[in-house]
Amino acid sequence: MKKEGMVNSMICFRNSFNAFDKDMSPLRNNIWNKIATLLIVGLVPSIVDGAETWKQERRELKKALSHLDNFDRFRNSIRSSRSALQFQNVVNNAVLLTVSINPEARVKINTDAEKLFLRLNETQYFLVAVNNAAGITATLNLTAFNLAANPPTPTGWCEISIVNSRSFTSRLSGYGRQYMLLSITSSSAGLAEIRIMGDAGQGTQDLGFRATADILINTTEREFGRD
Amino acid sequence: MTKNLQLLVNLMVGVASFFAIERLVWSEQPVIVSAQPLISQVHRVAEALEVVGAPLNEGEMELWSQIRVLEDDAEVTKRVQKLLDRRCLAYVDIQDKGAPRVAAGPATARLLEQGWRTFLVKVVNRPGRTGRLLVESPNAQPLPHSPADQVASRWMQISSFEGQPLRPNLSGLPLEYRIIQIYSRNSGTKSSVLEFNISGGPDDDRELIRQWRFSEDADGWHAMNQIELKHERESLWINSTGDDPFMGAEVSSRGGPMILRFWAHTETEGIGQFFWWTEDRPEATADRQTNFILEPGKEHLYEIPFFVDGNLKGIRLDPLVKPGKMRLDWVDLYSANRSDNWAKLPLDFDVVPATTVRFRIADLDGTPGFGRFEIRDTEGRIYPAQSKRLAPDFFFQRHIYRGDGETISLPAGKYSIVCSRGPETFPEQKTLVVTDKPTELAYKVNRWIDPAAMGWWSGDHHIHAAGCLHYQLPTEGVEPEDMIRHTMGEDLKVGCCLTWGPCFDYQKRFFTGAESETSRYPYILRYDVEVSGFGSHMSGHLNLLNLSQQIYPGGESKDHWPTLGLSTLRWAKRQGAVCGPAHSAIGLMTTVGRLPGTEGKDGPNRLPNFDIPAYDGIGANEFIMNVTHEVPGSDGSLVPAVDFISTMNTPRVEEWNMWYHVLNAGFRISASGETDFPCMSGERVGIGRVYAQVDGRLTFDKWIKSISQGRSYVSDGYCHLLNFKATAPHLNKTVQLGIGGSELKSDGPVTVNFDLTAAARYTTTDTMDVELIVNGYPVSSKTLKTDGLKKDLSFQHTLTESSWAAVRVFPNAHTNPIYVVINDKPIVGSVDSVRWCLAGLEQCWKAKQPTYAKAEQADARAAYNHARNVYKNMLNQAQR
Repeated sequence: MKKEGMVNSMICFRNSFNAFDKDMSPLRNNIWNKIATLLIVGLVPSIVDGAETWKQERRELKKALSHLDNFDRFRNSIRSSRSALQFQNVVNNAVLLTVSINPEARVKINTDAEKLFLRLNETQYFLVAVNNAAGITATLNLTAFNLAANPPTPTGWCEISIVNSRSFTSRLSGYGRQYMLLSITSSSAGLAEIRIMGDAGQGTQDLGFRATADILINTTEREFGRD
Repeated sequence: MTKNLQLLVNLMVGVASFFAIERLVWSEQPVIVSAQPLISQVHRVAEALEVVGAPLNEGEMELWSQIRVLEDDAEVTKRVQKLLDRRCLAYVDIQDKGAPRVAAGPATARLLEQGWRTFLVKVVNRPGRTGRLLVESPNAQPLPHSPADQVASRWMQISSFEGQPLRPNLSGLPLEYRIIQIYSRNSGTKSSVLEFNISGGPDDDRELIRQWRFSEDADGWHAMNQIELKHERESLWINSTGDDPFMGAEVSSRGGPMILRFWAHTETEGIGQFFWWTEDRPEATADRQTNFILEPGKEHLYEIPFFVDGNLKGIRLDPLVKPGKMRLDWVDLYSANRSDNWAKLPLDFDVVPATTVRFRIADLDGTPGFGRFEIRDTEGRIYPAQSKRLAPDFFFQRHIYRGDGETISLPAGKYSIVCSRGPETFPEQKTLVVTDKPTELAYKVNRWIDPAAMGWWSGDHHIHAAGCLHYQLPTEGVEPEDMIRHTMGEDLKVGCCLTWGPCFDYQKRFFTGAESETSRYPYILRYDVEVSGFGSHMSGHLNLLNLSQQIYPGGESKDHWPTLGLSTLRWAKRQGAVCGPAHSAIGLMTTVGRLPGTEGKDGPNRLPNFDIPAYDGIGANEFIMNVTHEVPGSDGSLVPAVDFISTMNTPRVEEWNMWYHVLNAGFRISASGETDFPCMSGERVGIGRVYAQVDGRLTFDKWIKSISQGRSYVSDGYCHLLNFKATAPHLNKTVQLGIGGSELKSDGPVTVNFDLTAAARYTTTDTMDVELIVNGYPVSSKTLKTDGLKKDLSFQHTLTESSWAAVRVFPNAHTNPIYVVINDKPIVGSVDSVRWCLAGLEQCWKAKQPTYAKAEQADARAAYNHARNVYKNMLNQAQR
C-alpha cells in the first residue's frame, strides 16, 4: 500500500529535470551530486579517466534520469531532506527492486512494491539498488516471467532490462552499493503479474524463491488530454 | 473442570451458536478475476504449498494443468475455486468497512497432536484492500504468564505463511488464497475461535508501525549516551560503557496503546528502560517511560506495552543500566489498538493423536546405520512439517535423516516413505501404516556400489553449517552434530565443514585443527575455513583445508585478512594446509573475447575452449596467477601455492576448461569435488564429491593427502572411475593414480595402456561414453552401460611428447591425471593453453586489481608480474 503510492509518486521524472543547472543553490548542487554519486558508482572507472568523460557522463545521467516519471515530487522530497538519513530514505523509497548479492555471489531480489502502474507501450524507468557483498563485477541480468504460462516462460508482453548505455551500466561495479536503471515496457493493457528473476551469470540465482520478486502490474492506455 | 473453565466453555458454545447463524447466512456473491493474475497467484500458492510440505496432489495437479490453459476469466475463476476451496478452513469476505464476514470452509478440521497442519483461507476482496490478513485466536494465546484457568483453552498455535513466493500483504485481487498452519498441543476434540481482520484500513488495529532490521546498518538507531552501536551479522551489537546508556530512533505515528517487541540476547542482569516522546513534547521525560526485566544468558522476546498520549515522534531504549553488552536482532513497533473489526469463527477440531515410529536401520553388513527418509501421507503432505523444522531437520529439505533407534511422531494413517542412503544406494519406497500403537520402520541399506570397500572414500570438501539457506537466527547456523548427521545420511565419509563470513565468530568455536569429536568412524567431520565474505574473497574464494590455525595472524576474526589471496595461501601452506579455489566457474562464464588464432581448436563439449573469461566473479579467478607460485610449505621447502581446483558444483565446461588449460601449461593441479552446501545447493551434502584412495584405515590426514596428490576422482556419486592406472608394457612399468606423483617416465615415444574400473547408474540414459583425455582432448572412447555393474575398461594410446592423460564421463565424473614424461621434457599440452593463461592473467589483473587494498598493491603487482614472467618463459621455451 505504502509502496504502491510511492511508485506512483516517486519515480516519474519529466523533462523539467534541471538537476545540474548552474544556478542551483550550493545545497541543491550538493544533494544532486550525492544522487549522481549514488547512481553512477558503477561508472567510477570511466569517471576517473578525466574531466571531459565526467561531464559527458553527467549529461548522459541527466538524460537518463529525465526518463523517470513524476520526478518533481522526488526532487521536492530530496530538497526537503535535512539529514543524510532522510536523504537516504528518499532515495530508498524511489527504489523498485533491491538486488542483494551475498558473499557466495548468490543473487537475491526483493521488492516492497505491490502494484505498478504502467502506460501501454511506453518504456518507463525505475531504480534498482544493488548490495554487492561479493564484490563481483559481472553483468546483472533481470528477466520477467509469465507465471500463468505452463511452464512459466519469459513474457512477450512485458519487457524488462537493466539499462546498459553510456550513462548506466548493467555491469556490477564491485562496490558494496550501486544503483542501476531498470526499463519496463508493457505491451498488454490490463492487470497482470510478472515474476522478475535475476542473476549475475549462469547459475548464480539464489536458492528457493529468494532470487525472484513477483509484482502485479496494471497497464493502461494514456488518455491524451487527461494524463 | 474448573468453574472458570466451564464458564469459558459455556461462553464459547454461546458464541458458536451465534456464529452458526452467521455461517447459515453466508451467501457468496460470485466474483470474476482476470485470468492471468489469478493463475499467477494460484501458481505462487501452489509453490508455497510445496515449500511448506503440503503440495497439490496428483488429482489437484491434473485439475490445475487444465485450468491454466483456459483464457475465459469467469471460467478460470470458477475452476480455481473448485480446485482450492476444498482445502479452505475458512472463507473471509472483506467488506468496505468494518469486520470481514467469515464462514467455515469445506476442509476437514483435523489436526495433529504435537504437529502442524496446513490449510488455505479463501479471501474474497471486492474492495481491493491490500493490507495483511490477520488471523488470531484466544486459543493461541501464549502459555507463559497465562492465567491458570486458561491453560487448557490455550491449546493451539496459528501461523500465517507469508514468506516467498507469497507476499505478506493481500494483492488486492477480488479473490485470493492465503496459507495458515495450525498446531495442537493435545489430541481429542478441541474447540476454538478463529479471528480474522485486515490491516491497513481505516480505524485499523494491530498495525505494524515500524520494524527495524539490521541486515544493512543500524536502521535508524543512533547512539545517544554512554553506548556504542555496531552493526554486524544482521544484528545490532550494543556496548554499554556507563551507568546510563541509551540509544534512540525517530518514528512517527498517531498515539494510543502500543507495543514494542524486540529479540535480544544479553549476559547482563538487571532492568532496562524504555522512553518515548511526542510531537508536542519532543524529549524523553520521566512520566513517559517504563521498565523491563532483563533475561540474562538467553535469547528472549521482550514485549513492552506503553501508551502514547499525542503523536509519537521518537523512542529511546536504555538496554542496560550499567556497563555490559546486548545483541539486538530485530525490533518491531505495533499499535496495540484492538478494534471491533475482528470477525470471529468458531471451529471444532478433531485432533489425531501422534504415534511414535522407531527407525530400524541396518547397513548391508547388518551394522546399525543412518538413512535419508522422505515421508508423505496419502495427500502428499511432507512430515515433519517443513516450514516448522529446526536442526537437525532442515526446513529447506523435504527429507530428514535418522539413525537406527531414533524416532519420529506421526499421526495414524498410511505413509509412503522413500528410504535411501546417498547416491551409492538403491532408493527404496516403503509403505507404512501407523495406528495408535507405537510401530517401527525397518530399512536395510541396499547398495549398488561400495567404493569404500575398494579403498575409495567419498568426501565433500566444501559444506557449511551457517549462511545461505541456513537460518542465521535464532541460532547462528547449526552444530557439528547436525552436520555429521547429514554426511552420515548421505554416506559421505568425509565432510569438510568450512566456516565463512556469516556467523564466523560463532562457528569458529568448532574448529579444533583435527577431526571433529562428533566424527564416528568411518564418518569424519572436520572444520576448516573458506575465505568468503572477507579478506581476499573478491578475487576468488579459497578453500583452506587441514589448517592448524584458522585465523590469519593479527586479529581474532575475519576483518583483518589480506585482500591478496596469495598472501593467505602463503600463510595456509606454511602450516601444511591443502588449498584450492571454490566454486570455480564463477567469474569464468562471461567472456571478453577469444584467443586469436584458435579458431577451430575447441574440443567436443567446448572442452577445451579458448574464449577468454571476464574474471568477474569469485571462483577460480586469482587462481590463474596463484598456480604459478611456489611458497614455503610446513617444512620450509617450496610447494605449489595451490593444490586443487574445485569442480562438480558449477558449470562443468568452465571449471574443467580452466583445469585443462593449467594442466596443459604444465601445472600439476588436482581436481576435487564439492557442493558448497547450502549455497550452490541446499538439496543435500555430497552432490559434488570426490573419492580419494586411502591405504588402510581412513583418517582425515590420509584422505586430504590423497586429495593433494590427485589420488582421486571427482563425481556426482552416480558414476565411478576406480583404480585408474597407466602401464607401459615394453618398459614393464605401471603407475597407479596418485602414487609416485602419478608420473610415468619414458626415454622416448611410448605406448601406454590406461586401465580402470568404471560403473554408473542412471535412469535417464542406458549408456554413457567413457573417454580417454590426453592434453584436454578426447582420443578414445568406450561405451558403459548405466546398469550399475562394474566394468573393467582399457584404452591404449601412443604418446610422443610429454602429456597428461585422464578419463572422464562428461559431465558426471573425471579422474585426476597421470603424467607421462618423455625424455624429461616438461608437459606443455598446448602452447595455445599457455597463451590462454597469459591472456587470462592480464584480464584477471584488470578485473581484480581494484579489489586489492592499497597497502597490498605492490605485493599484488609483484605476484602478477611473477606469473606473467612464468607464462612468458613457457611461451619462449615452447617456441624455441
